[in-house]
Amino acid sequence: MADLRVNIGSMELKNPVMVASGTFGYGEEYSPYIDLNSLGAVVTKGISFHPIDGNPPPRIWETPSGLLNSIGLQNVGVKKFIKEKLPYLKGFDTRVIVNIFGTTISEYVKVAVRLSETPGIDAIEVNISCPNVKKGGMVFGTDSKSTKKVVSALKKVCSLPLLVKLSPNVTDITEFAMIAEGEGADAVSLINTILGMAIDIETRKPRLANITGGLSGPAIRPVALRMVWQVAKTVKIPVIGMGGISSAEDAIEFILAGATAIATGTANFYNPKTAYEIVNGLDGYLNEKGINDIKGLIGGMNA
Amino acid sequence: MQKEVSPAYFLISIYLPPDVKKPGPGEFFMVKVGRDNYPLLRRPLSLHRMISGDTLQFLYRVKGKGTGLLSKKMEGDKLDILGPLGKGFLIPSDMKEAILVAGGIGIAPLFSLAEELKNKEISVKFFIGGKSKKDILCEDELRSLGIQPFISAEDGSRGRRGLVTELLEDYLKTVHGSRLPGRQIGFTVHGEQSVVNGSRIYACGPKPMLKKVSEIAGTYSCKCHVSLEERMACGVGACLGCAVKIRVQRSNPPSPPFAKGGKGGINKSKIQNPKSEIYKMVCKDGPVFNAEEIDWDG
Repeated sequence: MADLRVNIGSMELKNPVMVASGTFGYGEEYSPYIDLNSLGAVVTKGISFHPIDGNPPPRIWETPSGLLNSIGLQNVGVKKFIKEKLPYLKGFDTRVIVNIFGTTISEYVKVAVRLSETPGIDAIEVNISCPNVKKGGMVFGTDSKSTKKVVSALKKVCSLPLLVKLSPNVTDITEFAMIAEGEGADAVSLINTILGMAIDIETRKPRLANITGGLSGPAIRPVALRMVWQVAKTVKIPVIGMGGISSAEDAIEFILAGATAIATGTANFYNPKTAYEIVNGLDGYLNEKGINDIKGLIGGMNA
Repeated sequence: MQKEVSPAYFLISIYLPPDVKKPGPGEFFMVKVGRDNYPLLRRPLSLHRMISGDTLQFLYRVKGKGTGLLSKKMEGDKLDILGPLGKGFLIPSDMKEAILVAGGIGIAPLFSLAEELKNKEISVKFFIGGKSKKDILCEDELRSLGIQPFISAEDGSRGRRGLVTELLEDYLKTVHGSRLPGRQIGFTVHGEQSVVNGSRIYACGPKPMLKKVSEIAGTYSCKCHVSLEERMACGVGACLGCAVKIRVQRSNPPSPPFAKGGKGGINKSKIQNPKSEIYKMVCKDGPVFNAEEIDWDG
């Protein structure tokens, strides 16, 4: 058994395999299908201060090797999350990372403060990259000044490790990664979904009620991998890679490109055991290659 | 094993290993129809029938690439299925009569319900509608259960010409018409007391049909359960993709339009700008819902 432990700031993960926000509910939804104890971390659905109902249906549309979604950040709100969702997650031997967002900086701060005061949370991931809401989300992540403000505000109030989830819908993602690092982020996670759309040519209506949505799944993997590589060679903080990862081979590519940890997203939907299979696959690969510590693989691409 | 029971309609039989939980009527499975990433997502299919305890049947219509691939599966192929999932049909013990209304492929989940109702010795009235005779399925199988279905086809090629909802309405008018209240029933009236005592409607089909069935059920104050279909990615309540809009609960329900006095009793601003739109998930909260819960225009 190879050593799969990695560190994200002060947080140690027993393995580098996480499940991405928005693709694993609050954990409980998938526990009948995958042992949550096998995961390095569970990243929750994005949490806001007040509950959010989300966007009108239709919310999803399948595309070649991909999934367009416009859920609209539906969530139970921080109060209900702490009371009803967190206790379940705390029962497992896995790190709990709570994804947060707000429509204003003060809302981001309010959620972060509430969570920082709550035992049982290992880190916070800041969503500044959701493409499906008018206010908040990507508005913060595609404007360098807003990114700077929100990360700096959160760093002041948040004692937990802070991960910043970056949007791919920018000209140069490394600029945003550097801002996050400069403001004290402990890690960056990337990528969120790529803005896309689809139209029904019979009815001439958009496939999603919100017209545009975020594209995820294997279709975006090469883009995600390129961005992870670009960011990993630019910043010193750990990079958590995600975007279409559905097998151990995919995960290894991201690690070779410089990711310290990876997350499975859309693959959870069609194969709930993906993350578990990747943990085993990584171990198998390391053993086969005679590598005893996964840290030796990070950024190991021969270019 | 599978066969094409009518043009574009397929019936597939799958052997279920003993350790898989047996599904109930209205529950569904997420079926991986392709290999690798084509298509990417599983397809939701409702239980059609369980045969001799170990064979699961799905009845489905080939609509797109996913169901097209499924129709190519051969005897001996293995199928990756996740389930049973969702909340199925509720069968109250005091029910005397079940009125089942199927539109096209909507008959798929209702068939297993009919079997279950027959086992419980509850009277079943079954209404089947479709565009044409090729969309009318399971007639013989229902007769084997001792159910004589009422049939309509929109083009008149089978049964009565017209919509299945017209058949349903005629039936209710004839059998339960004397119980119809003298005034129109508003949208807030759905008490525990059913005018059509001891009867319930169960429906599955296209959304406009379900909306109409729901309205008819409202007119007769008959409890009504609908099985909904929505595109879904996960089937387990995680992706929040299969949202259906629920009627907004108001603390002070507006008076029905026929109420006397006041200014019509409707607070327009409240209706037009409900404080909170509420969505439920077809996969987790359903697929079977009480019809009165659904905002049919949402």
